[in-house]
Amino acid sequence: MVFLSAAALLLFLMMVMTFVDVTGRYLLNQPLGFAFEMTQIMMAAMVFCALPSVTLRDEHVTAGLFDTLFRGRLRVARDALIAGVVAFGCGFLAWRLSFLAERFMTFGDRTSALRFPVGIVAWLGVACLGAAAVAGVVLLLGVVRERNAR
Amino acid sequence: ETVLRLNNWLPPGHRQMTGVIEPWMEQVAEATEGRVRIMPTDASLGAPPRQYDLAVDGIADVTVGVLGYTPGRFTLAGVAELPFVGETATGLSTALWKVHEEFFQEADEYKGVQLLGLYANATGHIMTGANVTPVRQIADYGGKKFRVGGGIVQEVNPALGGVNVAVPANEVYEILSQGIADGTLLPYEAYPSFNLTGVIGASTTVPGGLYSSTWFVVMNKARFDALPPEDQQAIMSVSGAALARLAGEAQDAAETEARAIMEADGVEMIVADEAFVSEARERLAALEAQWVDAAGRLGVDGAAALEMMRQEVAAVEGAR
Amino acid sequence: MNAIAGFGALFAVLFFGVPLAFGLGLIGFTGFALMTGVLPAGAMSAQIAWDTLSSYSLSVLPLFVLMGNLVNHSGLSRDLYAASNAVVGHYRGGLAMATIVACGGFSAVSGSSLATAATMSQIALPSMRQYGYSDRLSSGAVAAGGTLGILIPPSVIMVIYGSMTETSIGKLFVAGILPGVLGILLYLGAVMIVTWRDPAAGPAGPRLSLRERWRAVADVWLVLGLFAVIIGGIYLGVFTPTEAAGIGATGAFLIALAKRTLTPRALAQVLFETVRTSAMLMAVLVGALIFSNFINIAGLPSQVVGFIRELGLGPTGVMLMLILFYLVLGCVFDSLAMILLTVPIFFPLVVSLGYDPVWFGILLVVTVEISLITPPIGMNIFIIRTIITDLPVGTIYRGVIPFIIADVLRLALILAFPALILFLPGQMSN
Ligand code: NA
Ligand code: NA
Repeated sequence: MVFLSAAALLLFLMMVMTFVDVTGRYLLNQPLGFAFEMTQIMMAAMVFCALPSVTLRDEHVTAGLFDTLFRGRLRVARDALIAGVVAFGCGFLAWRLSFLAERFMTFGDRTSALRFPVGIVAWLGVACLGAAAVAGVVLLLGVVRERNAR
Repeated sequence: ETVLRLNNWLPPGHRQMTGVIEPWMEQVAEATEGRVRIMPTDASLGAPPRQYDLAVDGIADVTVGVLGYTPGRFTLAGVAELPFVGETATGLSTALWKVHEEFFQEADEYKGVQLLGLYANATGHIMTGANVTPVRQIADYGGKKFRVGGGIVQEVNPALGGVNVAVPANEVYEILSQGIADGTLLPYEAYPSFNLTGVIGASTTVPGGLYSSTWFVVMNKARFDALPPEDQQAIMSVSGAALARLAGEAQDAAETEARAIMEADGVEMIVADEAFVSEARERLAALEAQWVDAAGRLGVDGAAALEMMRQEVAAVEGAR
Repeated sequence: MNAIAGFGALFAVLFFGVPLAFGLGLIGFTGFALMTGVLPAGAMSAQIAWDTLSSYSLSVLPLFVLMGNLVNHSGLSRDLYAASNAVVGHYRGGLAMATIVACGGFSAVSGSSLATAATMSQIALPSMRQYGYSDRLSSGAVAAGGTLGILIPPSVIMVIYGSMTETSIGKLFVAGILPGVLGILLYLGAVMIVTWRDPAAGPAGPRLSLRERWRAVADVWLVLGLFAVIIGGIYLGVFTPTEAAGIGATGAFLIALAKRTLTPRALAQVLFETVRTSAMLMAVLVGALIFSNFINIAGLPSQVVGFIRELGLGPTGVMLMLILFYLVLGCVFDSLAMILLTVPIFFPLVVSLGYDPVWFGILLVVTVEISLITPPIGMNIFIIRTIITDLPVGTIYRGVIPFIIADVLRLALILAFPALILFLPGQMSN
């Protein structure tokens, strides 16, 4: 919920920033100057922050072709396996992204106008992907619990 | 036989590939007597700013990239990007490699890779749109919106009184033709490669050079270390200083061709006068001081390096 | 060979039910790892994720999704239907025609076909049922009208195509206008023919007084104004597509405020929904780009180009073959997945044959649009099913047949007259 609210706030700020930038360019001949780079940064942060919620709600897009083929125990096994894949995927990506984040920090990558450290957003991504992995595990446990309850 | 994967992110037919990288690849094959071959990928494996990272992580073995695409990451080669350091790609590139060997190598900025080459574009020019007042005096510059790419140009433009418009490279034509930007700062070579015929009315050259951008060629460290020493030596013999000269000359040739195309298109070619230059020098002096400071933080005598850079460039450009 | 095995594994994993993003990512990563090692493949995946999420061009996606959601929330989609109804509702099949027109109107502010179908089925289907329309015609009209969402700008699919191929998104948007209008006209024709053959399928609605009609139409000038600002702004070069998206979303926000339909709570809901949709889209995109890196490194694009060259078909032959391929693939595949998987392979081929990237992009959108309504997997049909649960899928599939014929006709027209796509963007650059 904290992550999701942050994502929502970032989206709203992105909208306002773009509007102010364009109107500033035309009305005052003075765009913000940092809208381009901050759009990139905010967008990455926004999507990262929304990922745990999407995962927890099991909203990732599926082809869902043969859903009806899986019933009963088979269905539980399949759902658990898929939740496992999702959790593993997010966790693995978090781990690999942490190396990139670390590199951004040590090399000192910054945005060009505001000199905002890019590594911070990459580390935020690591945290969000970690949270999404946890959400995947919660999903998996939910599937198993449902099965045992029946 | 070792086959190295070079990440190919430039648009098909781009001068950097055909004029610089492909000839260099051939020289590598020749120098190693065919033991090392470099193969470009079908399509890019990563975004333009990721080229260095691709090599560090071994996603590609060899990559070519622009230092300015990752602001804050590299400082020292920026000496070749500064205003009033040089005009030609040959002068800037060959001088940069010498200064790199003399002053920068010890600072070890290029971690996790084997640095094969550094080189610079020819100077950027002030290109203005077809329906825009050309820039003859500094007052003409003030308040104009210029599309700028990555790197030091983002600081040069506002210092001269312009407004930065940042858009992706594939939209340069559109924003110029539609007047979202009044002009752009680019070397001549960009005119044919961005297909700017019809949207550029005039181009103002600043004698001494306005700014440049620097490129790197790097190789995955483990891959390089795994090569037999004679192959490493052979590769280095056609890289470094040799690559700087190759790249410089190829780019200058492209500049000459592009300039001819612009003239044929009727683009007005303006050379900034004394008054413009002295005003620009004053406004841009801070960039030089900033670079010297930043170099100092890395333990490099920036003032001395800059001095050597200027002398080396003058030696090449003066001899023309 | 590796790439073919990769596609096989991908289909298996997706059919098993693994989410698109994770299936694509997993197979792409594994294939890449087999060729370069696990660490480079892992680093590649992380770099792709970072680059995709921090891409400036792609920031139009969340902003346009936000605009559509705000417009929908402020009740403008309902007004659109009422207005279309006021204008054409009293003809035979009028409500179905109004549905098509309202779908076109909603498409002008929404980037997604699924959103268009979902919104319009909630609004239009109940009213058509009330007036005794056959389920076949009414569901067919909504399903088909919904496909306009990705053709009439703004369009999520065009943004993705543009960013994958470095084609100007602004030009793609402008190029989508004429084929979109053509789509509306042909769909209207389809409704007329259906009701001419079977007048009971779509009885005429009540005729409103002139004054009532004016009032209904006056309610939607805001939507049209919003469309005019964003697409007109791109066309005239006032701003770039990304900026247009920000302006459009701000405009929709102000409209919703003015109509007093936006409580802080509702705004939060709209924002939540938008960021989730964006994250889903971006996750699929990341997965697809990881997969396409594997396809690239395996050398498939150059192999396909070589193979098709050897067939010696000539540009038109190749294009017809590609369209057929897409139509068949579209029967089972999602439009987004189709674009993501095939563009890296076919785009170089098409460009090397001398086709215009903008033209091919729009042709692709028109072609994959059809996939949204063809059996057995047509996403728009499933959307309608989830909203109107007592409607048999078979009925909807029979209902869309006349519209699929209209689509094929449009495809033929576009092939015969490339200017339908290229005329408007051609005016832009001069
Ligand atoms: Na649309
Ligand atoms: Na289908």
